[in-house]
Amino acid sequence: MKKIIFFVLLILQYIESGAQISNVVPSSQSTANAFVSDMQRWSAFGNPAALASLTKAEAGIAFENRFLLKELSTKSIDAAFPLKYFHSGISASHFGYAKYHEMMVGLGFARDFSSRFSMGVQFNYFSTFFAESNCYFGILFPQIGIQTKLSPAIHLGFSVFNPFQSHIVYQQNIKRLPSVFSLGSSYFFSDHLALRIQADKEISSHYRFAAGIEYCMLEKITFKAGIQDAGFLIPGLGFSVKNKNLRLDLTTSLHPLLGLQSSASVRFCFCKP
Amino acid sequence: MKRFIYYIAITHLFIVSARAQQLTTETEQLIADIFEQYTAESGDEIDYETFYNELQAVAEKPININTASKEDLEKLLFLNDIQIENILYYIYKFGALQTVYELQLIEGLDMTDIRRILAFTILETKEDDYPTLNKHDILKYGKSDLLLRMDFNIPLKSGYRINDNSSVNSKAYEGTPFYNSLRYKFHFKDRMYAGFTMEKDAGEAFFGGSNKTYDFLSAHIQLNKTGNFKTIVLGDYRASFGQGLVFGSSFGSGKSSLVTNVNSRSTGLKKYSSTNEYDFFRGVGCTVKLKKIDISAFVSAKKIDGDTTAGSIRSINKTGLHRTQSEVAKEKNATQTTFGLNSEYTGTYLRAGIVLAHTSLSELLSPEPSTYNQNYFRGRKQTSSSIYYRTRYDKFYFSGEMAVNQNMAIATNHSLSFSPHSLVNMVILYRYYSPAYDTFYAGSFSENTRINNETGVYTGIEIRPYRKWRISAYADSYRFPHARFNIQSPSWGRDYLLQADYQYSRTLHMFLRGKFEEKQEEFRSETAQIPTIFSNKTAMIRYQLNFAHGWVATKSMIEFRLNTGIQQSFGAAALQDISFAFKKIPLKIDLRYMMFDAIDYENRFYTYEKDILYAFAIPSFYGQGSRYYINMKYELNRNFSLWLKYAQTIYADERESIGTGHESASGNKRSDIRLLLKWNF
Repeated sequence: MKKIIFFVLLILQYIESGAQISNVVPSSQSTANAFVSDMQRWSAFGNPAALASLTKAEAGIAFENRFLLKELSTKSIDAAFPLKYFHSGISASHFGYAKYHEMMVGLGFARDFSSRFSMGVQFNYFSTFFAESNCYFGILFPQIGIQTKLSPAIHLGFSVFNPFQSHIVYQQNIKRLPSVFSLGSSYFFSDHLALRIQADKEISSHYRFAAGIEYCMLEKITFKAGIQDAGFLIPGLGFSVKNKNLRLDLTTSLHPLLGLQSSASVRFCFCKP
Repeated sequence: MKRFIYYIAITHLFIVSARAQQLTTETEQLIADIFEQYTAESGDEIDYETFYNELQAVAEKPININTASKEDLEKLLFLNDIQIENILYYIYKFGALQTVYELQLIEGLDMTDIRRILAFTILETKEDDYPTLNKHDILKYGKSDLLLRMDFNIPLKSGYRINDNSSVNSKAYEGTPFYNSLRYKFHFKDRMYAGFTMEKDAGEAFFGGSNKTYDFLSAHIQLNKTGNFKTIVLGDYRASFGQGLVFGSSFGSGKSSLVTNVNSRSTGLKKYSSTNEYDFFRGVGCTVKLKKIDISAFVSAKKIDGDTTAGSIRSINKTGLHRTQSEVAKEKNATQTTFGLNSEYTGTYLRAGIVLAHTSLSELLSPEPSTYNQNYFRGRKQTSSSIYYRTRYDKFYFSGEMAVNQNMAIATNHSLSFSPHSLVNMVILYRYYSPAYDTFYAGSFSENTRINNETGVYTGIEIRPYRKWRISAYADSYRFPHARFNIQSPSWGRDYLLQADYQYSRTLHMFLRGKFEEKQEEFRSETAQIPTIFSNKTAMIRYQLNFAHGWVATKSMIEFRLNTGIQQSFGAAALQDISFAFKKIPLKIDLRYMMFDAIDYENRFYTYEKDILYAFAIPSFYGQGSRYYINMKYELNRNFSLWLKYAQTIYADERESIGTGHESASGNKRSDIRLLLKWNF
């Protein structure tokens, strides 16, 4: 089993499967993980500018599993609050198992500068544990994002994760944290149907391209389908079910070599239904 | 005076004939255009004859769109599932269409679709009237076609020349270098079909040698709607059910520029009148209709060609070519007996069925063991069965099939089609074909030719953002979990296609198509003991402009290809087509000039060519050179038509011969001549 995990982790380092910014960053619940222009959902460690679109406080938990290996699971929790002058969000996530794990916490702020333009910044503290040294190593770094409405039907988003290429030095080794630039757009055919596209570039890895649709087929159910490509073509499907204050998201994607990746999240909105 | 009257009579005959045949020519052109789109960027070899016959039969007996069932509309191969459902829903909700202009109100149909629909449908508010089958009506209203075809290539290939070096001092090919076929087709409305086909491929013996008559003989009779029998077939026929995992159709599913057409169009039992010498059944079959349930049963016994060694068949020869001694030695070495059963329920929201197939061979099939064919079928008896379904919920249409063979190996595919918006159609298809699932007649959505050893997800989307625009795209991610032919390890691949169509007016249409394909291949060098796996990547971009106005039509195309496999190579091709359909004389001429510059085989170009009736050419070209052709159709009178095609390819890359082995011909030029005479009465 250790060999399998090692092998998968090794591959993940190179292929950026599912365009994970890092294993500890949970995938967003946007279709095909095309989150950067999504103003309807704020996701932990996604585009911090999406915080500005919140109207009510909300909190959520998420669990993500890769390739049916329990060691490759990411757990996260987050909460967001609209305040008077800006909106704020906190998030934390954990990836790994006893001998190796990563944790990250973030504190984000965002403001809607007009009904068309919003901007956000998030400060993340990343720490990792190595069994061989039996201690944690950590680093603080920012992420920045903007979102804009070119028209009611076209939204644009941009975000940068770890813009200054911060990294961890431990025992003469360097653990590099990825620096990712994301640019994307959403096009709304109607209130019920959105097409999202996104391109990501980790500074020293492949581009990732993603495209997908989100279709609100019933008042409470949204259907998501899309593809993403970062060296491998990965199709994905998902559902969102909303009932009063609660929203449940389920997404799956199929890597042609490594297999199934799935995630689930539950969010609670602190508002009157 | 006599001469004057003669001229008047001849001129009048031509004019009448021209008018009568104009519609036929338009339909033929329309079918060819649909087929071109159907096969564009498709790796599958689709039988054009069957494709043409299917649509031509519909054109001759148009579907009454107001009373059509889903099964009827599925005969319109250019429509996807969502469009068919939308038509049925519109008629269900708003009643019968009063005018063809109402088609514009149906979601998901653009002007191209509507123009095509009009060629194959009529609008009537009453039920179709089916006359009873009697001898008098059949003889009076039945129509017959007799077709005689001849092909010839210049220069003569080496297989036809006497080999001076050989001790036997004889030709490799037994027969003459002519291709010849004779076909008779009879139909009475859509109730009765009958006919025969006789064919001799170039190089095969003809009335002598190993063949007493033609090399391939085929005959069929099909009766429809006779008592409780929905269909009765006798002679040669085809069978297709469900998604095709047990009995596949000869066309209907695969990747093409019709990105949302991925589901098989099963046609049940159908007559077979094509010249493919392998892909059919020979025997008898029928479909009985019991209210909402159709039960089909059929039995077939036919001789097949096989490479036999020590009493067992090493491989089945599907080419149908019997030109050389070795090919003749493989001819009809075994008998393949097949029994099939299908039961299908058709309800308002659900269509589901179960299929059973059992095949036995007179000889043991035992392919020579190799890494890639470990899971291929071996033995005398093969059994497979499946269940399939089609259903809908709201705007979602589900279809799929799950099949299992005697080894309990599974093949399954499931698709979801939906139209979340009137401007958007989308389809997602998942497939898993076990390496151990290997059957004789399966044909369904796949990257591989065989339906086994593959898993993948296909996503296609079609968007019409503005009235004259259509954006089509697909992405297909697939994996071969076991070794396959020419690669001895698991491998994977991905395909993308993006196409933008712009219909400026009824007369002017253009599109820009981009395609990217990556597939793992194996490279074997003489020095390395272990072969290298590499990603063979090919990118292509094509621009095409079609113009048609009155009696003239043109097509201009330019295409570039880039391959990055073992070596990087580049290819380009351009062509210009002009077609004239003369008004006053029943003559139609197609002209093409094409240039290509693609040194590497990996960058070979596939281009669709206009051809004589029932022939459809998508030849591939690589190297440097040019090609031109002239294709003519002349209506001699109401009953006789003549087609003639002359094509020549001239290579400019200093090659001294074209082709390999017995098919090689000296020189850098190759000419193809085809002649077809049709008599309809």
